[in-house]
Amino acid sequence: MKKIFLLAVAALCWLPLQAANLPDNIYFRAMKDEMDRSLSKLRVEGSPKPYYLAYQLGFDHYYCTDASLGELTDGKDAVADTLSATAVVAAGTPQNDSMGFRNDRFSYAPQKRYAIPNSYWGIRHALWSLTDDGYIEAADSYEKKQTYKRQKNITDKQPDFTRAKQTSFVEPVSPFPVVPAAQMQQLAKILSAKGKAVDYLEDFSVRICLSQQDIYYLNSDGGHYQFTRPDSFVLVQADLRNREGYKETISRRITLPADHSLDPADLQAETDQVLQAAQQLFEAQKPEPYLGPVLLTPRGAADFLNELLVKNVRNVRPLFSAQAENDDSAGSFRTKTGMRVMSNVADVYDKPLLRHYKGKPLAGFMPVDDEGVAPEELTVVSAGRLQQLPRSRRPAADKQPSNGHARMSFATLPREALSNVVVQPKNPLSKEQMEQKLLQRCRELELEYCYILQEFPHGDTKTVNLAERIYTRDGRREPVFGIKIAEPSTRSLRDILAAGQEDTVTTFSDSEYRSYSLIAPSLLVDEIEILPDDKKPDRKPFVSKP
Amino acid sequence: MKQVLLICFFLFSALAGQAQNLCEVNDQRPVQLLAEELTRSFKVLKKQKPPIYYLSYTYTETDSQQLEVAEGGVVQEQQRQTNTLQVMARAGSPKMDNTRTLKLDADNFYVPFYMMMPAWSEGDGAFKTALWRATQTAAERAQEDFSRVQIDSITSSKRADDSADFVFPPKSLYCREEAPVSFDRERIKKMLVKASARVQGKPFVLYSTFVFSVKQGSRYFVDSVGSRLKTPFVYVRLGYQLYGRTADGLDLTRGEFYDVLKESELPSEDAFLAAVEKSIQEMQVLSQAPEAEPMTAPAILKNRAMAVFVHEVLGHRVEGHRQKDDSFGKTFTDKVGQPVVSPILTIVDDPTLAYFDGTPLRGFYEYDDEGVKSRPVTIVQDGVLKNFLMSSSPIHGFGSSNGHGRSQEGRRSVARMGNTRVMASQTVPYEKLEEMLLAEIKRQGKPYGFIIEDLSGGFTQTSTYGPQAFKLEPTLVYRIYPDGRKEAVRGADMVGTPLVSFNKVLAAADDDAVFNGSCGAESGWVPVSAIAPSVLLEALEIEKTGKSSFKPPVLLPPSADEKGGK
Repeated sequence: MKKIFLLAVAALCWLPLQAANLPDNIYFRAMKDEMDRSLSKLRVEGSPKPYYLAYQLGFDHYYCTDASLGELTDGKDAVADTLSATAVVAAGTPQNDSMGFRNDRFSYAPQKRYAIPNSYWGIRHALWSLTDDGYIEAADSYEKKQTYKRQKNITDKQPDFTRAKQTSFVEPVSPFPVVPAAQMQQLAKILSAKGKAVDYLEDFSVRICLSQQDIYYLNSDGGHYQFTRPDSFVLVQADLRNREGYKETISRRITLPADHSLDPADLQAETDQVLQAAQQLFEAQKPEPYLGPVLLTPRGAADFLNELLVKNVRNVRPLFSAQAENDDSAGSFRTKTGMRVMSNVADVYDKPLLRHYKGKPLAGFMPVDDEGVAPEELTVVSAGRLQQLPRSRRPAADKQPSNGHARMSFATLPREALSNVVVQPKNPLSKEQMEQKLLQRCRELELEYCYILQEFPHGDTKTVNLAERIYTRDGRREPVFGIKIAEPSTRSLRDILAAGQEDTVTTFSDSEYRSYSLIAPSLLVDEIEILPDDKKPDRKPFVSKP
Repeated sequence: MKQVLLICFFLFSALAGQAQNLCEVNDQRPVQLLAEELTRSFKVLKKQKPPIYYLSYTYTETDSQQLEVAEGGVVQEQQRQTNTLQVMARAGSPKMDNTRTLKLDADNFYVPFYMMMPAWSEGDGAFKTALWRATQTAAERAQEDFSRVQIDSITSSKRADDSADFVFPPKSLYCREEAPVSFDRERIKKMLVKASARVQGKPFVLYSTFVFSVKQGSRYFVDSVGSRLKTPFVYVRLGYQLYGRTADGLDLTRGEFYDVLKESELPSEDAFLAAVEKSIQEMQVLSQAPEAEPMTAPAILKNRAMAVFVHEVLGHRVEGHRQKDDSFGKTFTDKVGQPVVSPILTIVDDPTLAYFDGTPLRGFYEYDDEGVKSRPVTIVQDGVLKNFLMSSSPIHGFGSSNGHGRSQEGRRSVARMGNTRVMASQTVPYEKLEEMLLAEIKRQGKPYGFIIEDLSGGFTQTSTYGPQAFKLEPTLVYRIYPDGRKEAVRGADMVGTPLVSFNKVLAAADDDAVFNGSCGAESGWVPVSAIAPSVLLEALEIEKTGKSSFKPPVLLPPSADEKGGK
């Protein structure tokens, strides 16, 4: 009896403490008040009650300027501010709950609403609606999940949702900068005007966007965070019809520093690089079939590693679904811990607390995960072997505890994912050494030439539209486009021969729209099969360019 | 004679409603740039196989503002300037071209090429290049679409109306400019925030939205016939919508929208707040009202409800292109010269009206989206069908456009309504109409009749695959008993067929009112207006409304639960 009394006192003491620690603003007040109301009152007779809630509010601010060939194409007078809300509702008990089950073949998403009123009652109203919808869906999932488990004779006793120490990270949100609209417009015009003198360019456009998201998160176990994620960028794009009549597009997304500052000289240089690439693409030819060593530039290597490694190291606990026996979203390396997955040329880490790299913000920065757990740095691959997987509070078959890598988005409830993937070469080579090593290997194989790829097909990108052929005899280079990779395989990860000193940060978004960064060096891969893609050239324009 | 006088009055109103800031169209730089590229391209394109035999550019400069408020907070506030281009390239010949709706292909509705454009103001190189690129793409697509039309014409059944696909519009030159309108956004924002707070604490209002939007700019039109046009446009809307749901799953809504052209036409804050309070009260009444029972009884369609009724039930059926497309029901195709509605009604569509009785009309335009000058068209005269609304797609017996080719930006134009006006040859004061309704209820021995106060929309079946019927959704309906007592009911839908329903009009009131809205059809959303008096129907069939399968939320809205503010 005394024990129960002490526990009750402890629980009463804990709640005010938790409330007192929350930031004092309308976002946390609204989340806390609606969460308390829902947990105490939300019930449907005959259904399990909600036992865990998590809310996330994202306040997006953006201002973009678009220009094409020296003139503005789209402008805004004011910064667009949009508040959106996401709610996670789990019904049942931690031992046996509604989560981890897909009601249909594809959907495993939280409740979300884009554009909600930015007021205390407006936020509460949105959260009320999302929680209600989420609860009804959770109650439905709970019943279906129990039926599925009975049908499939699943008697596993491990809990669906484990306890984990909750943590918090709160820093004042950064005020969105006063938008230098005139400077942005002028810069967009200047940068896009660089394409005017290039006869074969059908369009050359520049989009400058200042953007940030203020994020507020609270779950019913007390985990919370508040911080600002900057996401300003410049997008440069060239559309052209190349010498052989193919319509091609080349683009580059340049991440701006966290303070959103624009460095005209730097952007001019980046724009010039896009124009140089466009020139190469204009002159490029289609490849012949090729099988041999390939040097991937840092950007190409990022695509390659993302496609073959990172994609396979996520969603460690497969979802149940009555619609599909296999969970295609679950990473295929989830059962390969300890196995050799890569050559011993570089180690791979995941660093969720890394916020910037070379002055640029990283998309995967995560001070607290989306289940309220402090994220750990992971050694993903060491000595070529898969070491650590991202873990959430929903344990996989190997019952490993959370390491703070539950990540959610508007398209997925929290699941295991990497954040900032850093590939660290053991003996990094200079750019010249990498090219020499490529040529040396090609000579050993008695090849006339080999390839340097600036991209590797990924996601919905089927072809590489800019690469280089480098001749073994004299080092001569020729631009090539329209490359298709024949059956990309994780086998290629074990064929990496060397990694370079140069690296680059690339931002990716997975199929569930969780953003992450990948810091990758150039890579030399011993064998990749290249084929020309199937695209056909377009007719010449009826009328010449004015 | 009376109709002629009315039309003259409307024309006067239209002219009086807008400042005549005429300009010289050939001095307009966008027109010059568009005409230059059109001339340069067209002389090459018309020699291709198949030829591009007609080409038009519509370049639109738009300034838009959007403000949305709910629950005492701003949801969205945006201002944007855009320049867009629409290229209409016709391949083949007027007899048969790429825009024909295919019979055998589900993907059968031609869409013109549409893109964002660079500004022309500080240098025209980018504008010219974008125009050239758009022309090339539009021409390529037109040729590709024409090959599909050719195959379809060989493999599909004979068309009932084999009229040509296109009739060249007459050459027009016109230029008018208007100074941009401005509004005190901060004042309006405060008013909306204040109004949205009035909804809080009301358990029967589950959601609400309060909006203010401005869309204004200039449209430039150039075509290969030689038309050169510049016309201004402005659409300003202030309003709100409240939503609720009863425990048995019936959705409820009340709202009000004000369409204006200048700030002085906006309602005062007091008037706006009073309207919100009235809607809240109506929501409360509806949330507790008895459910309607299926029944046929005499009814009054209040003026704005009648306006929507005519638009939905008759208006869409007299749009010209529906008379030759074999997938439509063609209710009125062969009825020209025959009575189709009650002889007391005359129906005119007149897009030249900018105002009616001090109310701005959203369906006003000077030239349609195919460059044809707008004009009033008498659809029905004293109950007899006279005309169809025509775009540049001719039909049997109607060989040219009457200025009703309309579309949303980026969509192909078809015949659409502008300002649809219903006029009655004999009218009575509204109070007298209610007396006549009571008399009719007694005469028919019905337990009650209906007053349809407000109508949000609904659907009207015009496809041959379904019955030629309509089902409209009144948002506020009263039963009126023989003793004059009124009682709100919920969940009533109006159903019927057009040929029967319009013949049931017994009398009309002298209380003409305007419904301003946006109408969605195959050419997208276009702003429209409808003007009508209240009418007495001998019989109106009421059905139960379909209900949602979802319950209302388990908990009350937070502000209603806690009855207070923070």
